[in-house]
Amino acid sequence: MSKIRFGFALVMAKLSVVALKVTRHNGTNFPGIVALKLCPDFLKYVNKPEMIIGITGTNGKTTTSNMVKDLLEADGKDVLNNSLGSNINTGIATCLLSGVSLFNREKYKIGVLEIDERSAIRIFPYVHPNYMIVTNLSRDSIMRNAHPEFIRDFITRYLPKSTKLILNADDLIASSVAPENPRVYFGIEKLSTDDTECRNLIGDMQICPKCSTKLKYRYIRYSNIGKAYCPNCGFTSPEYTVSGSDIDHAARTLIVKDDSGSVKIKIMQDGIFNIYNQVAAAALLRQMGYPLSKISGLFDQIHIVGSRLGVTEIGDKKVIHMFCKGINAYAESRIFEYLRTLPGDKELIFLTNSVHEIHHWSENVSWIYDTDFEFLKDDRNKSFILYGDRGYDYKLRLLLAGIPEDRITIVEDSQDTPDQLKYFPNDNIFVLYGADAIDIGMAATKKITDKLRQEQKKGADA
Amino acid sequence: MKIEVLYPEVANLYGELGNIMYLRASLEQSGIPCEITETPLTERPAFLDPEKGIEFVYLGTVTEHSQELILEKFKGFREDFEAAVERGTHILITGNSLEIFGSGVKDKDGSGFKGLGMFPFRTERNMMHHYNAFCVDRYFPPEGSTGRTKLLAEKPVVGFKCQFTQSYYEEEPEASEKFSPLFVAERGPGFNPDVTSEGIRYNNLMLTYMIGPIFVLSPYFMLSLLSEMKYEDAKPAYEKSAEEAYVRRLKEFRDPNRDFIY
Repeated sequence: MSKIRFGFALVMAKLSVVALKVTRHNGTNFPGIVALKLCPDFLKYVNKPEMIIGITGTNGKTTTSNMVKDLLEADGKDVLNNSLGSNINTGIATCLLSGVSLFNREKYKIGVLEIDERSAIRIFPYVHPNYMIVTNLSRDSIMRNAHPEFIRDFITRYLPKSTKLILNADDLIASSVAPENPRVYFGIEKLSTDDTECRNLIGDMQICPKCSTKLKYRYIRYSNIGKAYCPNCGFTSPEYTVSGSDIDHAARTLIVKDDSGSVKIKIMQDGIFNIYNQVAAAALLRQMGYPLSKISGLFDQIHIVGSRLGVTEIGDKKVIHMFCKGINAYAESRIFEYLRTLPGDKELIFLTNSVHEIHHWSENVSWIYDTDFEFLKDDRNKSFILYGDRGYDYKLRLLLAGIPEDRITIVEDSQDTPDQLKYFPNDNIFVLYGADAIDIGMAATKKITDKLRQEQKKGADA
Repeated sequence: MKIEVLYPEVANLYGELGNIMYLRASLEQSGIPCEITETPLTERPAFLDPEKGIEFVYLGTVTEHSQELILEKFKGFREDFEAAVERGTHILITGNSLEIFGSGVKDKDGSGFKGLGMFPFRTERNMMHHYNAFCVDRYFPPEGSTGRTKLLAEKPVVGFKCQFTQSYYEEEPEASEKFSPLFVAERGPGFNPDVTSEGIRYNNLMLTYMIGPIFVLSPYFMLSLLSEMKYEDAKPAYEKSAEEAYVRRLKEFRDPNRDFIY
């Protein structure tokens, strides 16, 4: 009966794909929703690629998943991937549906699946990854994810025992996922910019998990990311199986090494948090049997694309749209930390209000008191433009961080924010937007670039 | 003003150290000198010793693992803690840290722990269900409060809740001789979704499920407490901005078209 039900669900879900194509609604989870509605065990019965690589974690899972897919494709592999859909059970169902024929015959040998941490309960009973990267586990949406220890325990509870884990050794919460599973660790060796004391508001791993003594860090990068040890019981962070080192921002390279040797790899994206994603991908490929030299060659063949970062130069001004995950203090702090390393005077537009909840709920703003707004206290940040009800919350937080009040403006509508820009010479205009505000961010960015281009044209005509 | 923050290395979830950030800024802008002591798990809290003169103690939300660590600490100095409460020290404890003062926590999976049993309530936990809510509450200052303290308490308290647990009074809070509710909900859940009474007040010990930067979200509640502690001249930091954010949030939270449980 179940298999008949599955067959019916498969056919109907496939038909829904055709219907979506006809109506030009590609890239939604609708086929997966149909499949799971008609057959709640759809994930159990749908045939899967013989190798499944899962990628989860609080931050960087989309980037890492796309990177792994691109690396494998650069090696000539045909890869099934959910990059166009979502990372929850309906997205995984949609993805796996696209990977089989109408007769449930699998079309791919490898699947790279980005998996939402909270969806572990619905996915792992049926989908058993051979490898699983956990990029990091940090504070995320308070309402959805509570705290990272909870997420760690949640993944541990549902992850198949056979899955080999590729874990971030520099994150003591991520590195303690599913302690009984086979595992290797990746990390980044000590950097000249590291500290020995946490300088962030979030410090989720301050006490020893064995004896509760306050941990010390041989080096700490941000929050709990670094090499910890307990001065009382001798507990330490795991040793790296694959590590990154010698990061050369000017040459855009880093060294990746393991017990087989070392190799220079091209840096795909600035920011240490992005480099972790590359080391994670390299560690995975090493487990899959790729030699380091081959991995380096594959990195040379790929590049990062997407709506997460874009720079447009118009005259003497730059307009930078940047993904800045709202309701996620940890991710937003990384962006603020990065912004302060960038040269030049800046204007910042905040479009990180949680817009999906605006009409029927109210965003829990507690996270902004976990976020290091203090990093924005920099004389080069000339204006802060906020909008809506949440703009008043951000304003108070910015004031507490020491930002002068005369640099802060609030407007009611997100698309009025560009009107408040000063457009001074050599201005670097940053448009920061959250996951549910990509369209808002893009619209504001377009408004700014259109205005600048018009002015440039006027100047040229004159 | 002498302030003590208990166990900030673990009791720091949900932006709750923002309470201390805001309290410090408010006192500084009001010209009131303040001294903040952060006490780690490895040290004896200063407020237990009256000669140290601690006037306000804060303990925020913790993970489930850390909850049991702090319970062990409180077991170790329970008598001194009770004496501090009887002396009238203002102590604010938020989120799941309050649960150690009831009869205990019982998890759906059979785990849990026995609490200190200082107040008649029990806690049920379900790690598969995360309760989120916002609320508009009324704060009741100690009986006999007058003047500014009474006036400030007329301003509603707005805040958020975020928990895997629900607690249940084992005595009617309004009739109990052992405690009174800290807040009464105008909108949103109380101690659990079936009651409007929220939290526990006994002398100046205050336990509430409201989490996050309560003082920032409800600056008048912070002022009420400061007024009770005889800091009647205190003003909220960045008063105009704080007031604007508060007024907008209150309007949002009172909007009947918004659900308050998520």
